[in-house]
This record gives sequence, structure tokens and C-alpha cells, in this order.
Amino acid sequence: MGLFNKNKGNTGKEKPKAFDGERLHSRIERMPNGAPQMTALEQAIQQADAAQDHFWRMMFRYEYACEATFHDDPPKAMPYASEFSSIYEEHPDALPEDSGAEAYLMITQIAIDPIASLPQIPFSQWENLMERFMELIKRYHIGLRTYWSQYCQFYQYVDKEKAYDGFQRFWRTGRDGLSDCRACERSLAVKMCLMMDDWAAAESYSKIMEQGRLRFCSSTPQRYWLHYLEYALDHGDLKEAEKRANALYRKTRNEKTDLSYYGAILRCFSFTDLERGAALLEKQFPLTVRMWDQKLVYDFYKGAWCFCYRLAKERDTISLDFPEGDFPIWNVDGVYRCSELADWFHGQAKGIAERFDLRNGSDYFTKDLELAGKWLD
Amino acid sequence: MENAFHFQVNLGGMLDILSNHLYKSPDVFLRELLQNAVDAITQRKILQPSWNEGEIVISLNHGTMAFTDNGSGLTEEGIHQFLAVIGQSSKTDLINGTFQQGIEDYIGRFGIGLLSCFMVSDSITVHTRHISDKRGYIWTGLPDGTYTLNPAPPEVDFPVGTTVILKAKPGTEKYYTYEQVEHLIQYYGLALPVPIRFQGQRDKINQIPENFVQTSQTQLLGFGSWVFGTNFLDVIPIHTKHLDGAAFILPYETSSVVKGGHRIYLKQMLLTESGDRLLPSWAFFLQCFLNTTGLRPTASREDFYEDEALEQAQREFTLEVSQYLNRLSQQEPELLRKIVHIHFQAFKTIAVWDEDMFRLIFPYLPFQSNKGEITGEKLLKTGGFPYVADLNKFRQLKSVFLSQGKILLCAGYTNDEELFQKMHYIYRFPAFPLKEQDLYDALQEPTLDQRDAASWLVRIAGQSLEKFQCGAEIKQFLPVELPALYITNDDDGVFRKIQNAKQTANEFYSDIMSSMLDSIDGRNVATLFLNMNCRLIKKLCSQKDADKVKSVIRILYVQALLSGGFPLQERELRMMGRELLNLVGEDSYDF
Repeated sequence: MGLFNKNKGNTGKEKPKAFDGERLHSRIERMPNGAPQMTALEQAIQQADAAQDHFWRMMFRYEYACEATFHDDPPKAMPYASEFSSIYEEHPDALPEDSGAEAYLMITQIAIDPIASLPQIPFSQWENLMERFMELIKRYHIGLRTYWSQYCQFYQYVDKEKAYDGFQRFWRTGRDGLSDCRACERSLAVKMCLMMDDWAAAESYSKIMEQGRLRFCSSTPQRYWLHYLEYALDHGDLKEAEKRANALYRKTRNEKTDLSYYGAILRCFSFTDLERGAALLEKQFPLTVRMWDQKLVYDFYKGAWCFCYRLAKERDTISLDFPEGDFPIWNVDGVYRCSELADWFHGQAKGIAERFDLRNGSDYFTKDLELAGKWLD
Repeated sequence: MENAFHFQVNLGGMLDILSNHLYKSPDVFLRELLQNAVDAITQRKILQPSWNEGEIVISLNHGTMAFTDNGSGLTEEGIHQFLAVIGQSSKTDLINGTFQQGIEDYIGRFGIGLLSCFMVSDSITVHTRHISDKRGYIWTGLPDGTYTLNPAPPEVDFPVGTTVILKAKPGTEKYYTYEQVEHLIQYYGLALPVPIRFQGQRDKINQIPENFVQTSQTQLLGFGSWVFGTNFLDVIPIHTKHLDGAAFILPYETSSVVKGGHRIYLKQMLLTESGDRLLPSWAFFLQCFLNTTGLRPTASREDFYEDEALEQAQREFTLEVSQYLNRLSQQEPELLRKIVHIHFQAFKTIAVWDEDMFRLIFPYLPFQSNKGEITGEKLLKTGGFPYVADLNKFRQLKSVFLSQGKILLCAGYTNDEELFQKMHYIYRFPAFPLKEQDLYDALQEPTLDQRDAASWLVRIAGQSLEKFQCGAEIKQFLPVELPALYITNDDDGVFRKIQNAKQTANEFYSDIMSSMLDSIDGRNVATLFLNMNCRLIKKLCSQKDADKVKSVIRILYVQALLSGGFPLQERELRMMGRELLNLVGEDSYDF
């Protein structure tokens, strides 16, 4: 991240301090990603707040936001992004000048990003925050490329022509310190091209990644594989889908942010591998419980619906160990009618799709769900 | 052209600074004398390689001390240069390149040591004869900065070497007694390689094992007992590039703030009792007798200069102790268990810092649980448990869990939470921070009669907390003194986080936070569990004044938030004040 002045060498002579953010940070970053780190970071935030150490008040919030975004439930980053913003505006000198501004813009982006996945947040509020983001871009002279990236990612659910226009602006704008990794940017490019049904253009962006000539971050190549997998499923290309699904399945990490991957893989397994699909559904369903990010939930439920629908053609019931209390149609014996499961997942996905479309003023999600159903029979 | 000026130095004032501020106590004059004497002997050995008869002899006579070494002595030029110029040391010459050979063998280097004698004497007389001279000199220095230098009378035959003669200042007579001098010699110069005797006595005042590694454990423990007056549990011989000596394991528990009590020597001369700079922070279970080489002293010669060599010495020490503990774990696990049991705080600190040591020591470490002490070994065998990092919260909840036969770990003591996190990281052992669901499972349902009795109270409580989206339920749990527990319904308390964030949100985030809150409007995000075992709750069940009960419930709500470690929101603080006012009869508020 480059924002910390880390000094981890232990000479064994450190003296105890009332609040030692550096030491806390060093402990936390060695913990497993996701919930363990986030719980520890919450406590660290409380301690930093109590100590009024503005540097660590911001940095622990930043770390929490990153952890939620990349390993858990991205909207959980939003309260801390909001608090970071207030603290930074009040104490801009608590962070180093350059990296402080960069962190401020980054966490603003982290707050904008999940709005697309929260149908309860009105479109106008997304616009307001984007406007604020633009003000910060002008103030600090970085982040314009990221602005257009956010723009096209939201607009893909609203107006695909505008989204593609935003993507072209994004690609034309120069990279800066706030930009995503190059592989993630190309993954977005693949998505935009496939959205426009331009397979050849998508391939031109992905070629360098397919050839292994681009360094991947921890989120890639999964992202562009997902886009190819969804496109293949939407177009009934099971051969391409199976190839991508198997590869993607191997790269998953049992994290909440993988739910979109699991959903698409489930769709594919409904045609190619019912046994693995059943195991995946049982194991990963608990990740959806009490999720804020409705897009991730929608993707998983869409896949679960497809899987259960296809399964119902093969058999009446299936034994699944779903968590008691977290599954509304939970059965004590763990045996479920496949059609009943399919209906429940479809109902959930449909409900979310309608809320998204209502907020976005479009029919993107409703049509997306219909498209998934098109190939089921 | 710029004008150049010289500082004016007030020697009397400078002596005061040196005496009263640089040195901790007048004791050090003897250390400085020892140091100069040993350096002079070292220098003579260099000049006369076959000579090996160096010794120091001390004579005491009614308030006068003659401190004699048979080292190289000083020439007339050397006396002017080294005894009369502050900051000039015969060793400084060596450092500056005049005489490089054997520089590592010298103890001192600052050229101010002799001045410390003015702390116990109003004059310093030096009789000295250099190894190359036929005659000696008598130098007498006074604290006002003046000195005299005369050749020794022809009839006086000075031997090669130096004698420093001091006369007790009023109030310093104790430094001129055999008992005190022996004590100070053994304190500062016990490790010196040069024999030190009193005039007319054969026995050496200073003596230590020649080789700590080859000395038997019994002898080392005996030596430790003699030096420190303690019967130690065990001893770790230390022999590295920078360190030589022994680390003795204390037989009783001590505190991490204890840094003193060691004997740490630099080139056989005591430098410090404090292990603050040389020893790792976890070494407080050890008492060390260590001679160091290759390290630099500070100007006061009372601690080490912090540099790469010091860090290297620290690493060497850590490695020696690690190897010892490793050996114990394989050959004498019971002794290791005993040591860890006594010094668990020190060992927890070690385990936090060092992953290998963590693996070695963790099974032996004791932890606090609601069922009493539990070792790391048992933890690893029995499965995963929740822990709470807050001691107050642990005290609050331990009975609740105990009443259900469940284990709750306390991570509120120093290092425990880090160790549990590390345990998770290294063993993938599910020791996890307490989740609200674990807590929920530990509460007992009320009897049907209790449920009936509390139904009105639960309804009133639910109404009074509606604004906070907090429900109310009746349960029974221990301790009976605890009237209420606040438990959030969402996994990660996100709702409260959003509420908190909304309080400080700027215009761009405020609406977004509201929208997120709106999405969960209409359902409770937390529950206040009222304890039917508690007298207060029972009493509230029979109350008729709904307003008063609402006030009490809201106060209990805030109390439960506080005892649960939840940061209070402004509106909750305000409400607390208002409800308290209401209870004492001031009801002029609108809530």
C-alpha cells in the first residue's frame, strides 16, 4: 500500500507504550484475511480513537475498508470510508501529503464502488458522491481514470451505451497512482466489450493475459474468466463455459467476494457436473447470509436457481446441510425438494433484480435473470 | 574574513557537571581508577610482550587511599597531555591513529575518568614513572583547575607504574574503608583479568570462573548465588562473539518493568546493572552476569551505545536462550514446564515476538478461562473456543458461559490476544473473538411462570428502546447482579457502525448512511436481554409506573452498552442524563 512507514525489526528492546499503532498493525496484517483481520481492526480503530492518534485512526479505517472490499462484504467499508473522510478533512496533516491524498481518494472510491450493489441507495446519492470524487480529483490531480472506471461499472446496469462511452474515456485517460492493476483494468475492458457483444475486441484485451504476459493481482485472472464464463453461459456455449468454470473454481478462496464466481460456476455445473454443484451449493450458501452486497447475493442465487432447476429434472430431492436459522425453508432432516429450492432461489434473485432495476431505472437485472432461464430447458 | 573566538570553560563548573550530573554516584571513582589501571597494564603488555605480571594494589590508611598499578606509567609529556586536558586520553591517541595496535584491549577512551576522583577527594596526587623513564613524576591536581608537576626527588625510587593518592573529603570517609572498597572492587572489577589485592594481603579481591561454558552447572549456580545472593532455578551459559558469562533463571516471578539487577561488563569492567539496552524486553526472568566485547559505551560509561554491534549482541543472546529452551523441551520438559509456569509473562512475550519460540513454548503457557487456568497444550487438544479481549467483559460474561458449561477464554491480559491470534495463524486453531451468536447461545430461557411475570416489562422495554431499534427479551443468566446484556443481531455490528458513522458523516456520506439505515428500518438490530435472576429485573416486573420503568430500562440499556464495550453515541449519552433527571423528579424533557 506504501502508506506506512513500517519498521518491523524486533530488537527486543521496545518499550511498552500506551498505544502502539505500528505494533498493532504489524500483528493484524499477519492474521488470516477476512473476518479475523476485520475484527482485530475494529478493536484497533477503537484504541486509535481513544488515543486520538489521527494517523492510525485513518489507517486502520483504510485497512478495514480494503479488507471488506477485497475479502468480505464490500459495503461494510462504507461507514469507515465516511469516517475516514471526516477525519482527513479535519486532520489532513496527520497523513503524509502525497500518500494521504491518495488514500483519501482510494477510500472514496471504495465507498462509491459498492453503491452499485446496494439497491437501497438512490441513484442520486451515487451521483452526488461521484461529483464529490471529481472535486477531489481536481483538488489532488489524480484519479480521473478511476472516475471513468467507476462510471462505466455503474452505468452497465443503467445504460450500456453510456457505460461503453465511459469505458472509452477510461481507457483514453492516463494511468496514475490510484489506478487499478493493469490486469484488473483489462478485465473491465473484456467485460465492456462482451457487454457490447464484441468478442473480438474482448479477445484483443485479454490476449496478453491469456498468454501470461501480464502480472496478475490476487483478483485476476478470475475477473476476466468470470466475464467469459457468463458470456458463454448466456450464449449457450457450454464448451467454453466448462473450460472457464473449471479454471475459475480452482482459483476461488472461500470468501464472500467470490460469490459471483460461485454463482456462475453453479450455472455451469448445472449442465456439466451436478455432484460438484451440490457440494458447492451446500458449502458456499452460508456466505450469503446477512450479506449487504446484493449483487454478490444475486449472482449466487441466480446460479443456485439454475442449478436446482436443472437438478429437479434429474431427481426430486436432495440432502443439503444448510445452517439452521439462516435458511428460511430449512428442514430438520436436511432433505429438500429440488423444485422447491429452485423456486426459493429464483424468488430471491427476482426480488433483488427488481429492486436493482427500480433504483437504476432500467431492466438490466430482470432481463439478465430471464436470459439465464432461457437455456435451462 | 570571519572572526574566530574560543569558548571560555569554567573548570570548576565543569567538574560539578561531571561529578553531579554525568555520574550516578561517587562510587564510580573506583571504577575509573580500575579502568585506568587496567589500561596502563594493557599498554605495558603491548610494549613488553613477555611481561605478564600486572596487578593492582590498594592501600588504605586513615582516610587516605593509594591506588597502585604496575602498568606502563606516564612520561612528563604524557602527564601534561593526559592528566591535564579534559577529553584527552592516552587511549584517544590510539583511536586517532597515533597508536592503533591493540585498541580493542583498552577499556576507556574519553579522558575524563580521573576527574571523578574529585567527588571523594579535594586533591588528586599521581606518582608515576613511565616504563622508558629512569625517574618518576609527582602530579597534583586541584578542583579549581590548577595542577603542579614535579620530578620525583632523586632519593625516591618510583617503580614503573602509577599510584593515585586520594584524601577523603568530609562526608566521603566510607569510601576509604576496606569493606566498601572490597565491595566496590567486586562490583565493578569482579571480571577484570588483572589481580586486585589489598596491600599486604595475598588473596585476590576479584575472581570469576575462567570459562563459563566449561564450568559445571553446580559451580555456575554457586557463583550466581555468591554474586547475586539468590539460589537460581537454572543457569544458561552464554558464549558468543560479543558476550561471555551466564544468564541465571530467577526462582520467583518478576515483572517486565524490572530491568536492573544484572552485572554487565564491558571488557571485564562493570558497565551497568541495567539490561535495558543489551537484553531483550522478555529477559526479565533472567539475572545476567555478562562480559561484553566489541560494544561501545556511552560517555558516562554507564550504558551501551546503540549501534549495529549492540543489535548483533542482542540477537546472539536471544539465540543462546532459544537454544537452551529448545534443549530443555527435548531433554528436560518438566524443568521447562516449571520455568514457564513461574515466568509465563516473560515467555508469552517471547512467544509473541518469535514464531519458532511460539511453537516451542505455547503448549506450556497458561491461559485464563472461565473454568480456571488452561494450558496451551490442553487448548490445542480440546478444540476451538471464543475469547474476549476485554477483562471487564470477560468478568461480566464468564459466569454466563459457565452456567451453560461452555468455555470462554480471557484475552484481556498482556499478550494473550496476540497469542490467540497467532495460534489461529499458525495452527489454524479456531480461537476466535466472541461473536454475538455465541453469547446468545449461552443464555437460558426463562420458566413459563417467569415469562408470564415479565411479559408486561418486556413490552414496556421494547417500546422504550424502539427508537434505538433494540428489542427486549427476558432470559436468565449469571451473575445475578447483572441486570441486562446488550447483544447486536447483525454479525459484525454493521448497523451500529453505520449509526456511528452517520454521526460524523459529511454531507456526501450522510444521505448514504441514512439510506443504508433505512434499508433495515422496521426490524431490531439488537436485543437487550433482561436477566430474570436479577432482583432489579424481578422488581421491575411488579412495577406499575410505566414511565419510571421506561427510564430504568433506558438506563440499563446504556449500562449494558458500556459494559459490553460498545462506543456510546451522543444521543445515548444525552438520553442517559435525561432519564437520570427523570428518576430524580425533573421531567422537563421531551424524549
